[in-house]
Order: sequence, then C-alpha cells, then structure tokens
Amino acid sequence: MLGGSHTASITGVGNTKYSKKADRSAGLLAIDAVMSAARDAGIEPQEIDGLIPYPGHIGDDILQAELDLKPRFRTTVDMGGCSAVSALRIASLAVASGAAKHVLLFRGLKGSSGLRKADRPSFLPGQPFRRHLEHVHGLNTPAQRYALLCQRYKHEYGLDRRTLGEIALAARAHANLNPDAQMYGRDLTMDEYLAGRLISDPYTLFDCCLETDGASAVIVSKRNDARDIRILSVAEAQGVSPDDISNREPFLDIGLTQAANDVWNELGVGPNDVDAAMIYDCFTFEVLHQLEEAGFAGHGKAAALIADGGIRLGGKLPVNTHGGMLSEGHQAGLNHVIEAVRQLRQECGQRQVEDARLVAVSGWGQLGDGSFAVLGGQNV
Amino acid sequence: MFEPELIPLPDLSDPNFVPFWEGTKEHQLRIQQCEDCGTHRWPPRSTCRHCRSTAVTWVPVEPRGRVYSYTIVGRPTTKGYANTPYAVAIVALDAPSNIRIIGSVVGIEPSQLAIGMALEGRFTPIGPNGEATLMQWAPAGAQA
Ligand SMILES: [Zn+2]
Repeated sequence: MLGGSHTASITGVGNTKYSKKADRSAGLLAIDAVMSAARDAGIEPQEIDGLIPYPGHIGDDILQAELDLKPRFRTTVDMGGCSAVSALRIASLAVASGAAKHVLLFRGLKGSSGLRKADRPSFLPGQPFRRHLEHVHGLNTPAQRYALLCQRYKHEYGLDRRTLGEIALAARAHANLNPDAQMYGRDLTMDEYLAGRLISDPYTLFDCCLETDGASAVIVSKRNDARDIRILSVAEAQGVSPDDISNREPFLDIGLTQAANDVWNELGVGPNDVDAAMIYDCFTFEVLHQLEEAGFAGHGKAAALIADGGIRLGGKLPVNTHGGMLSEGHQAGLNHVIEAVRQLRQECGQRQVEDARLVAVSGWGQLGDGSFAVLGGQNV
Repeated sequence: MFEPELIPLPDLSDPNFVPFWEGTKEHQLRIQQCEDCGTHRWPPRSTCRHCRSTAVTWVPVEPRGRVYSYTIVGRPTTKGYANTPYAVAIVALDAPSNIRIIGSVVGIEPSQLAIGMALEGRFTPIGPNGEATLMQWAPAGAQA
C-alpha cells in the first residue's frame, strides 16, 4: 500500500462560494466552510479537537466560541502560500501522534471587499531590510518581486507571453466548469489576456491571482474509511536565503525542489504517476516554475508541457482543475487541497479527471518556501 | 520621474543600516564584509553565512554592475513612485561579483532596459528635507 497503512487522511472538506464581495462577515463565511467540512467528514463540530487557523485571518478564538470547540491541539503555520500544504503535514503528525483526532485547517477572509493585500500587515520575513533597500526604490509587492524571478527565467530559457497566457486561459477554462469559482461564467481569450494592463513586467493583469471573499476548511483525521483521502506523503523545504530573492544563488532555487524530491523518494513514485496537479498559482509564471522544480518538466522545458492543452482537462497533466487562485479564488492554497480531495473522490462532475488515483498539491510562500504532497484514495 | 521628497524614509538610526546611509550621503556604496574570512555579504546580516563570525566591517565598493534581472512597474504601489512605468533592477556588481543590489533605474526609458546592461550608481537626496541619499541606477557613462 502506497505510503503505508497508517497515513493520516483528509476526511472532510468544505468551502463557501468564492466572490468579489460576500454578503456575510468573514466569521460567518468561516463557520459555513467549517460546518460543511464537518458534515462532509460525518462528524459533529465538537469532535474537532485540533485547530490550525491561517495566520492573520479570522481567528480560532471566534470559531471556538461560536461553535463551542474544545481543542487539545492548536498551532499556526506561518509560511505564507505554502501554509496550507505544510499544515497538512503538521496535522498528519498531530493525528499520528495522538495529539488530536480531528484537526481542522481553515481560512476565512474578505480579501477582496475588506482590506486588500496591499493594506493588510505583511507577514513576509525581512521587513527591516525591505524598508531600507526595497520600498525606497518602489519595490513592495509580491507581483513585483516574483516578476524579477520571471524576467531572469525568461533571459535564461526563453519564455513566450502566450505560454503564460495559456496558464491563465487553462485556469479560466477550468473555473468555467466550477460554479463556486469567482470567475465562473466569465470567459478569457488570448487576445484579452495579451491586452491586459501592465502590473509589473512581465506580469500583466491576467497573470495575477484574484483577491477573494470566501472561506475554506479541511479536516485531517486518523481514519481510513472508504471515502477518506490519504495524505500519502508530504514535505516542506525553504530556498537558499529564504527571506531574500536578490542574492539567492542559484537564483531560481526554491524550497519546492527539495520538498518534491523528498516526496517522490519517500513514495517511490514519480511525476509521471500522478493524474493531476494542483499548483500554487499566485502568478502564472510560478505555475511554470513549480512544474519544473517538482519534476513534471525539465528546467526550461515546461512550456512544451503547457502547450497544446497539456495542463488542461484531458491533457498530459491537468493542472488546477478548479481554476486555481488565478480563476477560482485566493484561498492561499487551501482550495487546491480541497480540489485534490474532490478529484480523488470522483466528485468533480464536468471537470472530473477520469480515474484520478494520485493527485499532487504544491504550496509556495514567502519568496521561496515550498511544500508538496501527494494524495490518494484507500485503493492505491 | 519619481518624487524623491515623497519617498517614506526608513529608520535611519537602525544600527544595521547606519553605515549604509552614511555611505550614500557621501556618494559611496558600502556593503558588509566579514572581518574573519573576508566574505562580502548583502543584504546586511549579523552573521557570516560562510564562517558564522559576527565580526563585520563595512567597505566601499564601486557602484558599477550589470542588470541581472528587472521589472517594469505599471501601476503605482509606493509613495514617491506615483508615475508609472518605472523600472527596478537587481544589479550584479562588477566587484565583488557575488553581490547584487536592488535599485530603481533612472536616465533610461524603462522599455530600453535589458539584462546584461551596464549601470552605475546615481545619488539623489530623498525625504521631505533631503534627510537621506538614495543610490539609484543609471546607464553607465550617461550624463547625470
Ligand atoms: Zn566569514
């Protein structure tokens, strides 16, 4: 049995619709997602005895009070966009050790109609040197920093704008099969992509992920019922000089390289064995970059995988079948975990990857922290 | 053009950066060097990654280098940089060649910037009363 018979499982997932402007508070959104996840797991909310809230968002105190939860285990994972997948690992360890039976990962935020990213406190490490060395030069957003990585990649390997465009278009096409997606019902053409206004070259509007109102929840348990999805292997790692891109060497080194390698080695399977991948997509290039670093394509070779529908449903490796953060919504990657679970349970309807047995999920945060997991059902 | 007087000043009394800002005031680029093994490092840190020594000195280096990567910002996100587009580059110093310095680029149309282009430091007072001096980058050899 892949991953051994004692692996932790994801037993419940839940989410609200994702939107630009929700008509409820972030707290109510979170409660909605958590109640859905508990129902999905077939447990009462009171059985949840572990909590991993997303740092800086709706807090666990509110949730505990509202739902009368009595956690025995509580922590946060402060790794930006790789928090969700890294939290899967902490939750797995917690249930394996007996520290908790059911650990809830959740996130609820009005990230679009409430305070937006630029107005929320930054959790990025290295704030003092950023104020002295970056902000004074007009460099202060994730899009600008990641554009620096993309530009260098483009210089080293070559990169056509249409390749990035196809990443955005594939995400949108998938979102159009997902009624919960923020961009459901809104097509995107290559011409529209190419006409997107400049954000931070090479990034234009449609290279950037959404800001979203919504909530997501995932429950990790020590249980292996037929419908539970096992966390077969999960790992995390950080890039060289994790707080700084400018003097990183190798410049394109990220934690995912090591994390994915650890997972492949532990499981004894490789990139060709997975049926779909949910790749953290803060920006289009980060999808391409991670596909290479996780081994789905060689260095400089991901464009060939992405061309000709390779990352769309029916392609060689369907990527972000929910629409990702580019088109489903920004849930800091927790929505990627949820989609992987639903694909493996064959619950995805029109956007189902046929016979999905193994699905990979990546997380990326804080300029280079990476985490990676492979999930599978009870029969692999 | 950027608006130097509107750029929010960092804490100029932060001991980790005092030598840096004193240097730019004298139109010098100063970076850190490990006193024990001689390794140059940037951004400023308290410990040498090479030998773990915390003994550090600041040394002037030639503010010359080549564009390692860059971005052209199309939408204003910081005070002092309301006028877009503007370019920000990571510049690899000619010497020591293991050091890269981030800076906004002046004196060139952003669209003309390219990786590998030779740039040099350009020093400009910033803050409401010119309290600090910022080192930006400009094409090498161009007139100020
Ligand atoms: Zn040293």
